[in-house]
Amino acid sequence: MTRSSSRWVAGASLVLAAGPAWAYIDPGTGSMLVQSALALIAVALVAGRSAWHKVKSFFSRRKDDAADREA
Amino acid sequence: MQPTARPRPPLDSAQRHPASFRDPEARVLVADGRVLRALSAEAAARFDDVREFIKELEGEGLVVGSREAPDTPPPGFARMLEHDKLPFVSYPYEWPFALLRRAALLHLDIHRRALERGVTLADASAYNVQFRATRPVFIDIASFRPYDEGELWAGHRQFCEQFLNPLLLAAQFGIAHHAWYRGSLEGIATAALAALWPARGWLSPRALVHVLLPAGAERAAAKRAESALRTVRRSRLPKAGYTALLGQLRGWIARLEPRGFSATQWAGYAQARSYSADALEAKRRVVAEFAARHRPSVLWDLGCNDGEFTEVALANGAASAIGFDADPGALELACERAERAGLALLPLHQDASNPSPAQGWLGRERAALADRGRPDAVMALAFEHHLALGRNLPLGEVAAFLLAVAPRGLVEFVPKADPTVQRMLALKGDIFPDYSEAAFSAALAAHARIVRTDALPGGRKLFWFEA
Repeated sequence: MTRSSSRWVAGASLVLAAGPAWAYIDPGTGSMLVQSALALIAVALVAGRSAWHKVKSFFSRRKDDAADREA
Repeated sequence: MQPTARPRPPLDSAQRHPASFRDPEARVLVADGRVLRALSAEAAARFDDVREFIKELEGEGLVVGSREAPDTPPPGFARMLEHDKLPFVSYPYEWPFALLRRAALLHLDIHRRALERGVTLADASAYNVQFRATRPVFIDIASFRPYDEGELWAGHRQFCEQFLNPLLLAAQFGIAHHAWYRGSLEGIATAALAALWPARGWLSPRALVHVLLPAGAERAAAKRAESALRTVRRSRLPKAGYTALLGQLRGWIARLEPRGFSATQWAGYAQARSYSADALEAKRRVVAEFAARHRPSVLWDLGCNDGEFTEVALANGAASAIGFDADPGALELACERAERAGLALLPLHQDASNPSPAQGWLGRERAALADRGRPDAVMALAFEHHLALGRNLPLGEVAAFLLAVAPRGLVEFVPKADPTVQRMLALKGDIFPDYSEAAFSAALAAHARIVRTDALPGGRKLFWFEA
């Protein structure tokens, strides 16, 4: 393992360890799983939107290119 | 309430508040009538980080006031704070729907503002909210802590079980939350609510996110605990998502209304009551005189109904009042009245024949109503017959109960000939040969002085008593 990756792992485990130390209530797996799913959906939506923009801009660029050539 | 003969097990610190045990880094202590909070070194450092924000909320009256206290912290703690004392402690299972909703909105508003400032709340307990009249105030300053970007909302389940689900029970099914919540102090389980939820609930994104999916995921996670935990540990919720969850709940809860409460027995009382305009006017005058004569700083109104006479007392010398009633619809009206007229009135759910007990851990976590302070005066208008005739309670015991509430009071006796009583006995039959004004008067006189009586047109009588 490289020095930087081991530093990353140490950092990540600190973050993970820091969370539960504050959570003296039981958050409940069900609620947490739903939040995870929502976060994934949100990420997918954002990713989907940017992918859609890419597709759109790809076609509009081709149209623009064609228009440029015709001009 | 009589103390029990059995010795009580000691708390691990002599002065620890019996409900303060969840957060190992903060303890509420009660000493000589003062409310203190001990913070560990870590909690004190976190408090310093968020102090400016807390002071801002304090200034707006949203968070209970606190200041550094000179007292020596108990072992394991580094700093002591002293809190402003609240006039009365009440519990979510006593709050009318309107107040539980208000407490929920306060929690969400504080949490949303906290996130904007890089602060979050470690839990979402409804017991962290108290009321000054009908104004909610947040009391657990130790649950503020720095927000860690990407963290999940750890308090979501608790928020749902202690705020959202009891409100939904009333809004969705027309069931008042009090009895269920009182028997289940941590709130109404999401699984239970999901089991009741109608099939069309699956079409509502809000019900899906906060009720149905969490309940389903909890069941699924119970079967695959390891992988569920791995998923949860890996997950990050962007701050925008966190804020959106809080905002979605806020929008939903702000529009929730209890279903069918307006049709409850007493909510239509003001329109349907049986006595004449002059009897009503006479009664208002006596209540005004009683309040003006004693000017109680705290008045308890048993069977306050929609708060009509509580308002008269508050307008004529009572400084503050707590109104108790068993009818959820009447309590909604009392809340509306308190809000409309700006009254120092806290309406609470209570059934006098089964008052809030001491309960929770060691039977002490949540105090009995009788152990939460004594008012300067009590009013019980058109109340006694509900116990004596409605619940078959011995008239002498009803009188003794009223006398024990406060050192002075105004109580109304409703005679058998009264149309209300006639309706009550129509199906039950008159099984109360000893129910009479003379018997009631004698029972009062056995334990207190009757200092004045006022006969109302129509046959009812008001008794002024002093201990």
